[in-house]
Amino acid sequence: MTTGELAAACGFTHAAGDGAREIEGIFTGDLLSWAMGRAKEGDAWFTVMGNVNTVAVAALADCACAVLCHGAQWDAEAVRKAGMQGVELYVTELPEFEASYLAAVTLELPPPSP
Amino acid sequence: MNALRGDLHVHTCLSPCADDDLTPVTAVGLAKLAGADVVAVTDHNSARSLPAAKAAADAYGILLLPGIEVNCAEEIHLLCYFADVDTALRFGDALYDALPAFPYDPAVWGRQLVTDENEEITGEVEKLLTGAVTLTLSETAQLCRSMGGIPVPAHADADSYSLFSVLGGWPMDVDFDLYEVKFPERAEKLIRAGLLPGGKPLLTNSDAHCADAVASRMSELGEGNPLLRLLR
Repeated sequence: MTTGELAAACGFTHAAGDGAREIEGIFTGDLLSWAMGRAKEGDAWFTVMGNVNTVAVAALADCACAVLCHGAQWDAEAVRKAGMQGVELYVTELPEFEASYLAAVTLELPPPSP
Repeated sequence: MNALRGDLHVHTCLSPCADDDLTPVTAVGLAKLAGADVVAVTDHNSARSLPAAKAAADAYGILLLPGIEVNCAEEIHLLCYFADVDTALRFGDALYDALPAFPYDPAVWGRQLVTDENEEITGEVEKLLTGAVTLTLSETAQLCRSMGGIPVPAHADADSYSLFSVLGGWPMDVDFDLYEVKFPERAEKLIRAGLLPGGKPLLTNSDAHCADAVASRMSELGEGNPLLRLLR
């Protein structure tokens, strides 16, 4: 499923990018020192950190997109940088768990093993 | 001006997480006893220990660098230093307006004591001071600079409330002339990895929350250090 298809199905609002990227998994978390090395290629990343540094980490990890939750807003600099680096950005009013859960169900991801 | 040595990150009984007996007068006195030339009292999001700290610094013959440790919206701690106490108090008023009125129970978080130059308690702060203000890191730095102050990222290499832990490294939307580090050897690794910038003056302070820790670590302000501008 592409980022644009997931956004349409989950009601995420578009903020940057063309919506054509294929999604392979989900990463959820806010501290960028933890996201570095843990967010994976093709992940849809759910966070509340709308700083431009999030865009840099998403670009380095080659995430499919980053979704800002709880109605938080991307900084103007983050949107500008995302356009330059081809990072897709979305926003949602949903909290991080609900947004991640909805995306996981929509993507039909299997539950993790305990 | 010759190089100055001092502890530029000290909390007092105003910070809920600091000991109640660490009054600003005690903090300044302990720094003087330890041989510091300068001490910065830097409570969380408030300047209300600074008038008593200034009175003590003048009485003891040590320089006071007025400061506040702001918890920015991203939950990054930013030390903001000013040339005088009145400016720091005005900056603190703006921060207090930008603090959420989170339900605060002194029994859980600790008391937030305002004390005078005689170490008498003159008041307690109502909002929890360790909360995050609604101003972002770059907005806080901008406000600090607009009031003539100098913003300095606190413990930039630490595992919490730091540039490294929250942003993964140096911010891309705001720059700083110097920064504080907690673990110099780790900071050196982060600099080599390109996550923190080299070539800037570094501070190493105690971040004291109890009397024993005051001046246990000090910074050296050598020639050209931007903070010297505030001490002239």
